[in-house]
Amino acid sequence: MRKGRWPFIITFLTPPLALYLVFVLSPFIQGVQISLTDWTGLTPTFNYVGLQNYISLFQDAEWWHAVSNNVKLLIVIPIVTLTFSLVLAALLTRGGTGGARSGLAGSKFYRVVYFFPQVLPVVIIAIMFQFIYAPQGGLLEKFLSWIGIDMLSIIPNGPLGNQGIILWAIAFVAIWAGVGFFMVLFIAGMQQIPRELFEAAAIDGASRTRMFFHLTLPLLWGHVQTAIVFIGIGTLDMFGLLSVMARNGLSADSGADVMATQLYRTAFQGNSLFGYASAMATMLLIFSLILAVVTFRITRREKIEY
Amino acid sequence: MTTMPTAAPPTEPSGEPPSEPGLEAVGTRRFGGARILSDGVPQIFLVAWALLVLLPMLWVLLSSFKNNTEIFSSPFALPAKWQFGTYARAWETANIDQFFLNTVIVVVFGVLFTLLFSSMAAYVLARYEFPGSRIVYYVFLAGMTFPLFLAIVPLFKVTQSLGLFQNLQGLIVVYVAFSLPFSVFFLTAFFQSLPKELAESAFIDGAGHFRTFFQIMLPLAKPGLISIGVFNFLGQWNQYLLPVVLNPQKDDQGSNLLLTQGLADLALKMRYESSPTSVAEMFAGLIIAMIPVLAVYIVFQRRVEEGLTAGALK
Repeated sequence: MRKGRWPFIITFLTPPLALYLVFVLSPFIQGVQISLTDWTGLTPTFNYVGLQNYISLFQDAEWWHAVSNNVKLLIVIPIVTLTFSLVLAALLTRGGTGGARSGLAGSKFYRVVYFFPQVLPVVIIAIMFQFIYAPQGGLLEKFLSWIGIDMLSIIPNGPLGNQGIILWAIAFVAIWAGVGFFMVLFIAGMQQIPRELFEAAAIDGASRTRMFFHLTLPLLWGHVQTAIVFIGIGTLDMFGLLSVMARNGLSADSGADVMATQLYRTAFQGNSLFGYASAMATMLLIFSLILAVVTFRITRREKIEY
Repeated sequence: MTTMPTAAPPTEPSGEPPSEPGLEAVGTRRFGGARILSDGVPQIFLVAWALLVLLPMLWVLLSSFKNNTEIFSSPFALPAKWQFGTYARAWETANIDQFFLNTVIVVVFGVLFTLLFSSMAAYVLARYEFPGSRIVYYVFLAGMTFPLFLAIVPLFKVTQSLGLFQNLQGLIVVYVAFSLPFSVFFLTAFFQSLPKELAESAFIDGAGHFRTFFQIMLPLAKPGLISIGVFNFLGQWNQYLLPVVLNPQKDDQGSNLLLTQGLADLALKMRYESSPTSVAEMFAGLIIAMIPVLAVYIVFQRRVEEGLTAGALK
């Protein structure tokens, strides 16, 4: 097996590795480099300005506004999404049936349906909800008026035209799209829990609620932890949803700017401040690293062997 | 969401009769009465979420056969006259045929080259120990941990200097590069799980390294390749940030745009209000963009879930 080994290794490894180094790894490194310059993208030359971009960034009220929106979303979206997906996952597996059967009636159907939003293009979801939220004739407005509520009297200009509501209207869509995915993730984890444990708990007369909090959740904690990091990093991004629904790609802040949409606008709309945008990107990376570390610290538990 | 009842109310009768494993199939009938009571509230919750997921999609589907007045005046009614023409008009006048074709080209070549390159790298990394092989593996892995956003500004520069800006070839190359980390990771584990003996006996029979790979290992890896192919198909079909930055509109018709870009463009600019079914045409466009991914998901349900959850639990 040794004959012709090296020519084979080199031929097989070079194309993928070259592609990866040029288009993935080098941009990540260049990003940090560009953040130390005043490059505008339009000129061939640029100067190194040290940490100037970062200093300006920290004094930029708009950036802090975007950061605060990110923080709000980071608190609400993971909590709501993961709570719903945990409950749904429990109901579709043994844990939600009192331990006796493998899930409530129709589990297979629900499982497929709930996952649908996860495979749809995010932009398509965003456009769809733009029409659903339309102030006049949108599905939401029509539904509310059908049950006797005038949407525009509660939310002037509709959910996407209202600075106080827009962020939460978009957060709802993110939750709508995310629940099915995390549910499937949790179902995968719950299926690894030995069925005897559920059956034993059922014989001992544990209710569903007790079984969930004392059996399912502790044994699933590793999955929950991963899910929190995963959804956190996803929530830091949300570019597709926000850029379409809040039109952040076109106009300035309409109340729902986050770091990602602001970065896109800084780099590719208007003045193309590439250096400044790269400083934003580097900060975004630092935020996601901090997020991962903090999450693992806070959620650390004794690992349960089973 | 405010209408959701809590999932497990404390008032439910505690402790269902434990069924023996063999009786589970009959169980549903035998304890039917008690089940209806204890499962009722959770079932309401399940049905409510299913409706919440399905209704928006059904509304878009139904509306795509209506005219503008009907969409806004009677959103829940069936169309008075089914406007099948909206699909034809969306396809032609709104240029969705071009966007669709562009997307298919990018995704087909993107997925094929992703599969080829990632299986090549993964096979070598899984089966050939050589100095530095672990380092190469971890270098690939590192790509999974960075957000795409950090790379986007430099990527703009790299593609421009290589002539890969504002064209479909450029998108294909970048899609493949960014699909490599996870695909290599997934397929390396897969190749490691395949039996070593088959490759060894192929060598004894005189096959070289290349023949062994293409004739023995690649066919064996088919299940893994399908999983990773479906995973990348969905990811690449749904991609929005990369095309928006690297493939901006270059002429009035947007002949270089992908489906997600083209539809977002139509929705954002709303330059689409002229005909009596313009909104319906937009909805038809949304349905056209949804059908391929939903079809792939329904056919490959297990593999899609496997690929996506493996991605999260890496």
